[in-house]
Amino acid sequence: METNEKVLNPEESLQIIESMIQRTKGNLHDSSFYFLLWGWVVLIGIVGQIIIERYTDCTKPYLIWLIIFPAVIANIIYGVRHGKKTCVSTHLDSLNLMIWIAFLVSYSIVLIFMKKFDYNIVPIIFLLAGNATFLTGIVIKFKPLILGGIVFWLGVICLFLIPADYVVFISPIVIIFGYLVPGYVEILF
Amino acid sequence: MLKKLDPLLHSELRLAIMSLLISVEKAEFTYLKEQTEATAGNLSVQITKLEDAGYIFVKKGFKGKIPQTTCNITKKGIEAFEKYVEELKAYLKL
Repeated sequence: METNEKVLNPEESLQIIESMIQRTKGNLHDSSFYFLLWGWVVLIGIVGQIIIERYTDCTKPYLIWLIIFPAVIANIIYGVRHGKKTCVSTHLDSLNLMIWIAFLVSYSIVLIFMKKFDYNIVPIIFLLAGNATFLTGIVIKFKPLILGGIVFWLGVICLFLIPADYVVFISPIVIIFGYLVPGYVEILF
Repeated sequence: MLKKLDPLLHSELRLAIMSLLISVEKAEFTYLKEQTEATAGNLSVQITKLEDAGYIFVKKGFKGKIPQTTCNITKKGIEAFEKYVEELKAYLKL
């Protein structure tokens, strides 16, 4: 753009509009960090709790979920630093953020009132996580995340249909294919 | 027909700025400079013209110790841009 008052013909105007709008596409921010962070945190929580329950005398195996707190801090620090580096924000970025805020609010409500659900909140959390993952996949047009969301939904169905002895394997599989695989695929491609 | 086109938008750099801003929620000066490949001085002048017309909102602040200018399109700017595109389409018989 060399001159500031170049006389345009309508064709040139149209070309400028098309070209500039095209340049704003593909600005969606990489979300792999969040999927990998929470994928590993939840996987460690699930597997850790199973191991503690089965192979130790610990009476409070659920305390392993305290790892969520450092993860939240890491999430915030990364989010703030990444936000400072970003010089453009698209409408889809905002929509994506809102999807995860909606997840966080719903997740918190379920967590606070988990006693009312007889502590059987895993299917609800998986449904919420599946919805958010699926929608993020749609927003950023990233198929592995869309499939990740579907994995969460299928996982919930399996939790209800599969014999109790095998249910323990469902959650780690859901997290691996719902969060970690899409996260690593996003890094690689 | 050409006379109907908004003179504020019917300029290469200002149209480029508006086309970028209509597609995003907000953008920093550095992003606009990078995408339009304009000089800082020229870009700054055109941004001021669009701001004076009420087409864009310019927020000046700091990112750490570095001055930061962020722009976003206003409702008036969106309406003007849409009108410009409609007139352009009519001219081109699209």
